[in-house]
Amino acid sequence: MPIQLPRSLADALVAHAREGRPDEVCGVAGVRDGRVVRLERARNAAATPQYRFTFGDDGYRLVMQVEREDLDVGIYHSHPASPAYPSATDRAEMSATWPDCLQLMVSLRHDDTTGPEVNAYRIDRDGNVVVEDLNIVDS
Amino acid sequence: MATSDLGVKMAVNVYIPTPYRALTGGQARVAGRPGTVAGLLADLESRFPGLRQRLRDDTGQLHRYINVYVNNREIDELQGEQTALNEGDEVSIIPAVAGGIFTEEQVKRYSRHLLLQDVGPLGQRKLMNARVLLIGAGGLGSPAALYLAAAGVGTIGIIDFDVVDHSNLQRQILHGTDDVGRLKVESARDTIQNINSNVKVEAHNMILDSTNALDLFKQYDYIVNGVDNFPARYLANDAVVMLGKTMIDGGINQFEGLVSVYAPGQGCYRCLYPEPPPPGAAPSCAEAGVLGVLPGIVGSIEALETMKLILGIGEPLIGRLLLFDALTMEFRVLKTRRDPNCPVCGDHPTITELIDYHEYCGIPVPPELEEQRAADASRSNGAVRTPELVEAGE
Repeated sequence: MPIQLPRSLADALVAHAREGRPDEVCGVAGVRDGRVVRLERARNAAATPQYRFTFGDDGYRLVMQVEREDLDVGIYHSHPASPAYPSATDRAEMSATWPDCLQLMVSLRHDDTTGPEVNAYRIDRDGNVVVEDLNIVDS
Repeated sequence: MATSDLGVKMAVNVYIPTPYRALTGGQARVAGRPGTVAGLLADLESRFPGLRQRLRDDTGQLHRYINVYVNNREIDELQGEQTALNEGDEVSIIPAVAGGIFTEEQVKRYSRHLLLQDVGPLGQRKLMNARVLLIGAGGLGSPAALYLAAAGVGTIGIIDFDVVDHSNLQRQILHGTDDVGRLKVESARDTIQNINSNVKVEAHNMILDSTNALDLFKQYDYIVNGVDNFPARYLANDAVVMLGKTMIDGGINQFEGLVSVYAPGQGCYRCLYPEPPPPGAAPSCAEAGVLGVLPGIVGSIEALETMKLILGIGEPLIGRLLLFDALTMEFRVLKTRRDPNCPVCGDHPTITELIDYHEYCGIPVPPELEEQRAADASRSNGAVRTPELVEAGE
């Protein structure tokens, strides 16, 4: 089953990434039955946000809030200049902390030419990337 | 007020994040005892097998990436694991959400690269993804390995069959006094790991020969030559040509050194010297002596050329031969070109299989040749012949 991402949320995701450029941006997705129903921006608390993203307290509170609403937690972040695919560091860190969690990634690598790229994937406990089909839907 | 399976009075509500719910039978919320965070976690760890390993390291410390919140405040801001828990408190265990194109440590380590427009994060990733083979962990391989490792080249292969000897220590800076008697590849691995543990070292403790060269070279993006004898030099050259790889070549002799880069279709060592010198006339494999520091300069230039090739920046020494004279402190650059009649990279190659020139190494030399050899050795120790057939470039 492809992940469903409403167009309005996809636009919001890209807008967040563009506003944050050249830093990476991050946030929480609320997911129900494979459909992204909410996106919440989190502050990137990394010391060097150009190269890293790290949630701060606000991000963790968003995680708890999304869970309280009985939604599945998803996580998104942006790559301002690198591909829409998790880096080795993304794989190493997220496999230890949030394995199998749905992740959305927006890359602005080709934003000036072919446009932004958005991908969905999960990282398993061994650090393998499982790419999910992503459908951007109009409603 | 919740009651556990054991009938114990419970009053603290614990939020279990998605990644750990397999351990709690799918429960997002479980009840826990008031007291302290430490007591609560100990209780949970005993009730839910497997949870302890997810929360704590081998020494029993909470993993750095585990955040514990009490009523929406992180316990590091409170009293850590000694934070008191009262009835009705909410405890949340949340693994860190973090990632990036580098780790925190890498961002600091490579910060001077990240500042450079021509390297930057994407260039640093190229370095980290690169696989470089060093032939020899000696005078040239030492500085090359140290600098490539420090710069963050992801995988460094090293082939050497030798053992560290006291006579190496005057110039082979991968090895120290304590390493005498150890395999060079193992000493090299330890030194590299100490400089940069991000680097993967692949140690090949063997003699490079016609049976292993192709399989070995195939595994790497670039080959850095640090050999000290003609048989290995020709073998490495031929294998690189046959595989269509690029080799960063270097050599030293007493007070002189040279560096060049052989890229596919753009010439090779045999374009300059089609055949090894005849047996007997060939200088001994024993060293004619070499000035300390000189290999450091030549090996460092080899490392620099390797970095430029990986990054795709600047103008590598392809079709050029850099000569360095330590005594006059002069660098000269000669232009070279591919020889269409080259026996290995020419239009009609006659050498299509690797050759082991064993006879050039370790055989007794007739006494009448000793004098001749001594004269040769004063010019060359087997690693370098100064080209006479190339014209000086502009």
